[in-house]
Amino acid sequence: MRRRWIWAMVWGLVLLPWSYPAQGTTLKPLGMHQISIIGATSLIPLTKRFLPEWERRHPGVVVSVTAGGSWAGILAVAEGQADIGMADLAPLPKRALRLDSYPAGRLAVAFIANSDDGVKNLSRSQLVQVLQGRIHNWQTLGGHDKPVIVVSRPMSSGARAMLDRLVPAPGLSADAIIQLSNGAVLKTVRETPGAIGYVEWRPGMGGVTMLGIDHQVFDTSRLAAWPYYTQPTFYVAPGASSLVKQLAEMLSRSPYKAEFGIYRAQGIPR
Amino acid sequence: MKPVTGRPRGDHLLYRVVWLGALLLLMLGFAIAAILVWGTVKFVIDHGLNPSLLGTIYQPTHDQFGLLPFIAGSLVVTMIAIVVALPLALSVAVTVIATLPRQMQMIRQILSGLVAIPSVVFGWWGLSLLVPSIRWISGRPGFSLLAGGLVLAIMILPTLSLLSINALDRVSVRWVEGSLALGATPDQTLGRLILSVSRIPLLEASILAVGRALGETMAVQMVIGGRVLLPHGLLSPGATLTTQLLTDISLLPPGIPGHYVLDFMALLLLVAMYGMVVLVERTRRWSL
Amino acid sequence: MRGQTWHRLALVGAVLVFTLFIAMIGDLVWQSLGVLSWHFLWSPPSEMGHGGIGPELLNTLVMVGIAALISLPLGLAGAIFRVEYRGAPGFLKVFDRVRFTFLSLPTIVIGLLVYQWVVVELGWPLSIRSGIVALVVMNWPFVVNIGIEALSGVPDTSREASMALGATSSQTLMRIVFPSALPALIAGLGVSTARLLGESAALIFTAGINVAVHWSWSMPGETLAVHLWYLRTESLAPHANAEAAATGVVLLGLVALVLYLTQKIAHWLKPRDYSRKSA
Repeated sequence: MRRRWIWAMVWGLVLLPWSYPAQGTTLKPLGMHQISIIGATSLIPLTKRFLPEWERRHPGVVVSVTAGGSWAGILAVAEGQADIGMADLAPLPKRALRLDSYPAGRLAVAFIANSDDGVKNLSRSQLVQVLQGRIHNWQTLGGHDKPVIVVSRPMSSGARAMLDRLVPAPGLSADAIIQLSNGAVLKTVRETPGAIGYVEWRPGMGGVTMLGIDHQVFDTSRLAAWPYYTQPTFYVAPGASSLVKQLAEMLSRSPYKAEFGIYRAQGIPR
Repeated sequence: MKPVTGRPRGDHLLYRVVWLGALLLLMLGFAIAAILVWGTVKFVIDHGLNPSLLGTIYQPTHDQFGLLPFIAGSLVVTMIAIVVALPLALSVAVTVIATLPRQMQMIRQILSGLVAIPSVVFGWWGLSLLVPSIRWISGRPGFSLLAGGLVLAIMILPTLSLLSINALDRVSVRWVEGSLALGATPDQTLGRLILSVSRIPLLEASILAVGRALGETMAVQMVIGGRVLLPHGLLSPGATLTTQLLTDISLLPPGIPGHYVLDFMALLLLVAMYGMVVLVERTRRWSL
Repeated sequence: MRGQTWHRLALVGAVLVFTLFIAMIGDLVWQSLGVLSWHFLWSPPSEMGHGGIGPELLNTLVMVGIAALISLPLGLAGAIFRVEYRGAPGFLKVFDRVRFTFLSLPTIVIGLLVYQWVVVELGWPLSIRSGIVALVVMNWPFVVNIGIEALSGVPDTSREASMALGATSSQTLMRIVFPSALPALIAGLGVSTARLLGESAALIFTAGINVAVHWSWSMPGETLAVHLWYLRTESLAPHANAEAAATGVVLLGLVALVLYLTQKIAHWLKPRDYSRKSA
């Protein structure tokens, strides 16, 4: 009797996963076509948003998306470890120069400060000094008496690369707190008084002060006028299959780009 | 009962199979060490005996591999964890042994349940409560070595309490009764008899807890702040060997110059763990 | 009573510890209440809010289940060899050092190694199967340990009695040692499975941090623990914090369920022992 119960429980545990009816998930056999995408965290929401419908139209294909930062994305494609790399990096590393690129447009880099800092506008040289860690208190800039805390991304990030070009030597403050993604930077700045950081802007980012630079306000309805941006791009190896190239092309023209703050660069017809 | 009709041939097969299993584990263990050593050798080939290794500047894309900040971070965080957790775990153990001996079995079960709490849950809790509290009290960012250490302290508490209870439980009741009968107060009995007799098992428990704290990644990464400079205080953000590994696997994928510094960091952790295993072996020999 | 100061202090400390854990779990449950529902358990996650953890739950169950099943025979073989056959003393020393070091190796190091071997060298995708490899490597020494402890708990007199009756060593193992060690073994396996359920560091770079529409072995396999980390640190979805808490509650529930069931089974198996008949 007892033994039968035990077996029932064991089988129950073994069979439980297979009976699990997760919505929208279909079971597929082995040996189907596999496409892997890796790269910038700022492009993952866009890719995740677009993929389900593409996957439904291509029932034989599984697409995996992995974060890792722009740097890892480009290198993984260059090394043949992934099919599509997502990156907003410039300048490109040497081994990425021969890759096919599918630019998606531009992504504004907004400078954000905690709402308690009491500063709404910085001049460009002030911004650079703050990011270099040379200004230690917001009082110096007419804000409240709060120590400046720089929040940054790791060096694998495209936004960080843009910033490294903006901030001359000795470069970004080594004292900075490092958060692994766009979202983590936003949350940290939102929750930490005295914090300043930078994010690739997308709708829904709130709860922080969007800093104006040189009296130019960060206006989300006129993103094209904002001078700080990255250029998110999908990279594919030249020898990739037409299916992979088609997916990269579709992703770069995805109708959901605006939902994630990607806008068309002026004067470029795409 | 059926008569036994076995043949030694089955024995031989069984022996072969389990021998193979043991050998595979050994081979995997040695393979891990070998790969990390080989990675370190490649690091030396790529970058020479890089003098920056002993420095404090870490810019792996620019040939600067100062690992000192991370080693310091790991040590400090682990120290905080054990210094905070040990007295608390001893309190639990003493209370259970002296005050609640009848509930010992139940408390053991509760504690072994708590041991299984996933580390990300501790990280979640540190991020929701600990970091804001530290920020509120100190006026600093809150992401700090202290936060990392405290999260680890709470994480190793159940393990350490359980091991401490086991250690104290081994002290013979007769000795305790004898001590009390000779007129020693309960406190004197505790300090001069129970704790002093069980100091070696307690040391072993602490080493195991230190090993767990030193190897933890996620819970620490969520609250420590990831700053790559040498920390200048407990409230300063920092990084540990494990959290920096997590951050840099994506910056330095294989094939990139500088990737092998990751193997070197992993090797340091492996050597630290080996050291602790040998230390535990030693303490066991003392206790005999 | 005089001279109890330290005991009182200890009592305060113990109460503090238990309050801490109750507060922590209570806080987690409290914050999760807003989003925890059947819908949450079943539906796929969403970057735009009102997502769920359906695929993550499925991935966790499949990956942990299979990894536990694979590492069980591997670990048991090592344990049987260590306890029943032993080998030369020098071998024993090396074996024990390797297994203890392996056991305490940080899981991020295992993640790094599996990433280098399986993803980069073999070219497997970041997927459920790569994640299973990481979990097996992580779980193997743990199962060896559990096996050794369970088997050493069987008194040598049983083995000697069996051998004296003319049984071969394999018969002794299968009919005498194994059944008596089974309760301890099952309880230990419960603990190791609970440990796998909560693993995240070894999986981020081997199984990835997303889920796909089609389920397959090569699909990226975000697990509950990884999802909790992703939600709490990176996700910008509304209610991400509450969803993280809810994921934590589900994870804790799974861990508790596994521990409870395995302990129950271990308990049921115990009285079948001959010791009860003789008593």
